[in-house]
Amino acid sequence: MPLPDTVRHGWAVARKDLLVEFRSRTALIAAATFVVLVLVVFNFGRDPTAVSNVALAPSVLWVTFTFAAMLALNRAFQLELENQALDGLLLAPIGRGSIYLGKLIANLVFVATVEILGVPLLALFFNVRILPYAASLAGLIALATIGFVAVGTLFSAMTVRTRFADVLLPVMLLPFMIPPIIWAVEATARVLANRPLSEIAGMLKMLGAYDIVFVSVALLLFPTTVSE
Amino acid sequence: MPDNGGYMIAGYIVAGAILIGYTISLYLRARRSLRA
Amino acid sequence: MKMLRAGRWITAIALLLLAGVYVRALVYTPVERTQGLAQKIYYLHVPAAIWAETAMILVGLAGVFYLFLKDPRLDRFAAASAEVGMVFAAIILTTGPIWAKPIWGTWWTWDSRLTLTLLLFLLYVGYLLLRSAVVDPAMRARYAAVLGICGMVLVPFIHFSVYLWRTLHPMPIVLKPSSPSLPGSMLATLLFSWGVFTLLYVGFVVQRYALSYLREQLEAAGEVGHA
Repeated sequence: MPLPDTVRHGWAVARKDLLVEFRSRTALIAAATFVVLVLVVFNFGRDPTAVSNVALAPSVLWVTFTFAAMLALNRAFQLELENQALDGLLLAPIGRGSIYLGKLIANLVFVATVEILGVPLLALFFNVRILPYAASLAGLIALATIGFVAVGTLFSAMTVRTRFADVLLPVMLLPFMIPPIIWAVEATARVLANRPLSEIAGMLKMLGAYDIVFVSVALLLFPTTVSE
Repeated sequence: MPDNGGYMIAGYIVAGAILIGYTISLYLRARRSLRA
Repeated sequence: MKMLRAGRWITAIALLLLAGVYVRALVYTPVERTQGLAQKIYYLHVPAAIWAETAMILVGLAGVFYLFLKDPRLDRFAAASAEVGMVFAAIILTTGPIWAKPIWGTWWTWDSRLTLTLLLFLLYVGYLLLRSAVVDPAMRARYAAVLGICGMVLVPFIHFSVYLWRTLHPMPIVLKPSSPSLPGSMLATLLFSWGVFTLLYVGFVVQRYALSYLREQLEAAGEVGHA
């Protein structure tokens, strides 16, 4: 079944970005370094008799994931800043929505890579059981990530053309990251503590609603951010 | 009944200060723009 | 400038009436038995909260209309509403802890309402920062509209999370589906205060709007800086 044009074109944009990114690999290295650093700091910073590893694990996970997301987002449109590449993209016979989707997919792939590496690393260094919960963990991590990366991709299209871009993006994004992160962290904590799924149903619903709403809003608003 | 009147006074003073402060800020900024 | 004068008059009247609210709340309203005198902060806190949220929604709505109509007046209004909303959010963030300390024993809690007011405040900061980071007025208005709309969409999520998260915060007793359960005299004080805060919002926004207009004229005439 042929995919709609928007998705096909979006995937083409994503492929371009991912090829560039994986060839340079600097962002991945930065993210990996950060993951290890956080794991070390959190581990040596706790009092083993008072705080269990399982109690810290959700926070560690989400700190690293959000950092990875910020790395990805900061670079998302910077590729296009050089050589007026954005104009090239805009002139191509693809809809604006495809550009957004492509950027979104590329960012998600990057963050997902960090997440896929980070969870087992956490399980290893922190001695936390994750295998029995792998499915629910994967689902909830995916839901939360889509939410704030969707908003972040929209914002990075704007901030890349402003004056204090590096500072502006985190400040603008912060209020949009906090609700999904709160839901995600609480749900992660419950999952790792082997609580029944019914306890996190509400949070998953909120995350799902958040994703649907903000991806739609971002798709609608994206053309405004790149028009003249 | 708990004796926390002090907090009430503090709250009312702080809120009032913020509102009056903002009023003054608006006044001064407009005056500066009018002068230019 | 006529608009500026009107705004100043409205604000002056509102501030006078505010003094009336103070007197009524502090002296003539009964004290709540379990919480004591500190509960009276409620009469300032709640109207500020209502307007802090409403102001954000108005910023978003102005953004929506701006994207369709491209009328700079809408953008001027949005900027004004955002600044005033931030002031009201600041009131909540200061009076909230002052109220919380005697009642719950702690200045800050990651209670959903306080957290969400903090988010609202951050939304305003981001919005105003974005505006100051874009020099071209048309681009600034467009970008601000985008962020404003996202903020407006975020507010309902924030609002309804109160019902989802476990919370210390008092559950809504006035703005809830069934009728308000506040005793008469207290309700009257609250409504009076809300009316005055509405007048304050209007007075402030009108003044700030006039200020934007003044600055735009200066910009057009070649003076440095922007609205």
